[in-house]
Amino acid sequence: MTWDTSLLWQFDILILLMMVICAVTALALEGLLSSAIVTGAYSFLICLMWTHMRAVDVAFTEAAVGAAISTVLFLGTAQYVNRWIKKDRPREQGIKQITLVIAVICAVMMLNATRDLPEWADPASPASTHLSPRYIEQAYFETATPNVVTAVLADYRSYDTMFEAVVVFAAALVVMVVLRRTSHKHRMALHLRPKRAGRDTVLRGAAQSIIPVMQIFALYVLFHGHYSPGGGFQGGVIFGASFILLALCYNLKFSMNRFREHAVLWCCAGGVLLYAGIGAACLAMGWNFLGYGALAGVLGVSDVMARSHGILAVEIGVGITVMAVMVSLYNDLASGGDLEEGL
Amino acid sequence: MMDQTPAIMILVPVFASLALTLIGPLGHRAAYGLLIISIAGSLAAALATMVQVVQTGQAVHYRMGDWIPPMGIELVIDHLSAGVLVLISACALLTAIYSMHTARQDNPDRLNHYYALFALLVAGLLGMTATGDVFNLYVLLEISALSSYGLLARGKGKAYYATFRYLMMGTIGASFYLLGVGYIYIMTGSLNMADLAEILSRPELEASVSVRIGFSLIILGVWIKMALFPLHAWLPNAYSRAGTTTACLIAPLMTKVSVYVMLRIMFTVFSADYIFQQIAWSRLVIYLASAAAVLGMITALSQRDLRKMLTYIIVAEIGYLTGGAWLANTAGYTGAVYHILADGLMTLCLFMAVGAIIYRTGESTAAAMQGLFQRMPVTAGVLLVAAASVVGVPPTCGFFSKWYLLQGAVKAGEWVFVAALIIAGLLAAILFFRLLERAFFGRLEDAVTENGSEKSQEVPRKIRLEEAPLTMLLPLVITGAALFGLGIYTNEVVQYLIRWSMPAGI
Repeated sequence: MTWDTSLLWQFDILILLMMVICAVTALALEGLLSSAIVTGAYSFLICLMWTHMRAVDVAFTEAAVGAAISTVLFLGTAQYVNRWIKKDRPREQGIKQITLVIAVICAVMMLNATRDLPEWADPASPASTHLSPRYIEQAYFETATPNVVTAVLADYRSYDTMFEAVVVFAAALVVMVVLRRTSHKHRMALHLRPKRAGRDTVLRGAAQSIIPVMQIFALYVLFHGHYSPGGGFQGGVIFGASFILLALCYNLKFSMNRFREHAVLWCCAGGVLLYAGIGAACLAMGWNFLGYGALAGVLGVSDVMARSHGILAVEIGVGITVMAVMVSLYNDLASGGDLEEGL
Repeated sequence: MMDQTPAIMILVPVFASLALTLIGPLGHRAAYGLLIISIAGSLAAALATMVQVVQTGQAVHYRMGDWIPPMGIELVIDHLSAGVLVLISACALLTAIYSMHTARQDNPDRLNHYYALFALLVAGLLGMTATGDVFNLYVLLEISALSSYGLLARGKGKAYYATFRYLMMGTIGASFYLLGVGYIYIMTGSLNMADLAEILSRPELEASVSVRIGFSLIILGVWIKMALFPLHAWLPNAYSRAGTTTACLIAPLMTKVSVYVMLRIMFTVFSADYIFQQIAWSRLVIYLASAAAVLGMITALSQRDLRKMLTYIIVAEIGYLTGGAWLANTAGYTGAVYHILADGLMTLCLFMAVGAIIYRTGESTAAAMQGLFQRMPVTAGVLLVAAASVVGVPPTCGFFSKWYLLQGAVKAGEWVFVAALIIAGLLAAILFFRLLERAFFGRLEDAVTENGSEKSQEVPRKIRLEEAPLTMLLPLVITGAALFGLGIYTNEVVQYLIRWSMPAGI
């Protein structure tokens, strides 16, 4: 059985169809909350799609970030948004129609391009013949990391990954800068926030038993990134989700007592600082930035093993930043910036 | 240490931004000092790299993580990017010095976080310019975009709403770019620019529809980012409602760096041959550019708000730059690249001068210009220089870029673009003449008494000398001098930087 026939194309078509339905529904729904839920369903479907493409690492991230955390963030934000239906004026109608025409033209152009794209999972396609073989053949010998994805992500292209961690950090910073302003205009909106005095005992009990497991699993995902799908991003998101769950099942005050605002900020910057600091240490020791081989002397191992250790260290940095940023985003968005009370 | 300058240049602001996030308790002076030191470090590294590039006459390559490209990511600093890098870090440093009063005025709280985003934006722009990898460019594009959303949202009035529109447009632009890179990757399997250039020059890929779609998507994305004429609607509101420091930082740099990215994609990843022979767009693009130049200036003429006026001038200048790049001859290319540098400085100078006027008068309409030469002689003088440069008066750099662009347009026989350049120049002259006339002759009390109105009972506003503070004046004067300096050393800039970066085949 070749690679090609093992793929169930009917299954793909089904997922694709459901994704289209979800996307259209999310746009058509009038309630923001239901829209957010449908978007979560969309993320879950695309996660199945990634799994089917054997891109398990991506699927993992999508499940954690797209299906779980962003849905919660949408829900947290939606409670502050007043919503009314605006009647379109003729001019706006016209603009919408033009937009539709442009979108259709773009779609036709892109579909037109599929003619000469390589077949799905074609082993002779440029993407599988140009660089990938070199990565697959050499990654283990050059970085002592069996998971090629981790080796590419955190070593060959670690400069990209560092800046992706910086993007995550910047997201938290931007939300903080925008929402936590002293002059709050939307105090009015905060009255709409329902009081969450008494929480359900069942919820608390469930949270108590599930959160420790989640956190241990998050650490496992992070540290096992060398050998299996996972790594800093996924581990960090799961760890962050455990704090969000705590805030959801108890309340924001409770979770912020466990993980204080100041500590969150330090972790946001600290993770990136660890990553960039390791890079700078390599630079200081005469190698180029992020050339983990420079650490061989300090660690007392070979260059190749030093690369493996370097990967682990930067993954921990990514994990810390992602975890703290997820918590920070939830705290800000769900409380409207005043950190008083969340969802 | 010299061979590490490309990395140091980008990393110093990153570290500064991380530190700035955490030093809130140390107060605003510490934040201001740290920002200036870090960006000065970047500027020093950028200058060192440029000297190295000019002396050796070849591009500096820096392998991130000691991996050989195309396996790893490399930074490539050639004659084109070296100039842009110095421009970015110099503009950012001048803005940082300038920000002492205005940033505190606009950000009564969380000044250190504001500065952290400032440093991140600079790092993002430098990284975009220095990189030799199309995906890495996307990541840094995201960093600069994200930090600019945060900075712009801290503006006044409806800044949130304008920034939200910018966020939507910017995200669409970035998605187009990423989608285009995806198509190119499927067809080539590589992300390194030099490697891509080699693969894409194969005949079977030159004819491929997918590659063409990929190119179109990338260019469309970049056009949205640089606000080329029909895609510019997000820019004026987003920039004119921003705080003064934010506007001074973002207005000159974001769009210019996007133009740089367009040049990179056109001539480094693809080739002049592919752009002008295989894709026959240049006529259409030059019409768009001409429309941008003329309509931008006409709209600028009809604005009452000073900063909005300036934002429409940016839209017009983008027209000049795009037209020059698509003229497909050496003079046009020289004009476009030279104009990136010239327009960066011009826009910075205009925004700083207007920022100083707004800081002192508290008004941002054209009425704030009344009696400017008496009240703020230095600011008014620098504004005059910047205006002369936008119009294209000889000793300033604006003249030389226009000269090259006109030469290129005539040589290519693009008479529409020639006409657009001349008309836009004349419109700019009318616009600045009106403003400066008011600044020189117009006095508020004169205008009122002439009308014989009884409402002038209130004591006429006494005209005092109230020049902007020194931290604002110093960068303003340096920028004004730089406009002359760049103009006088045009020959050297063209000879040592631009001529070397001339792509093959034009």
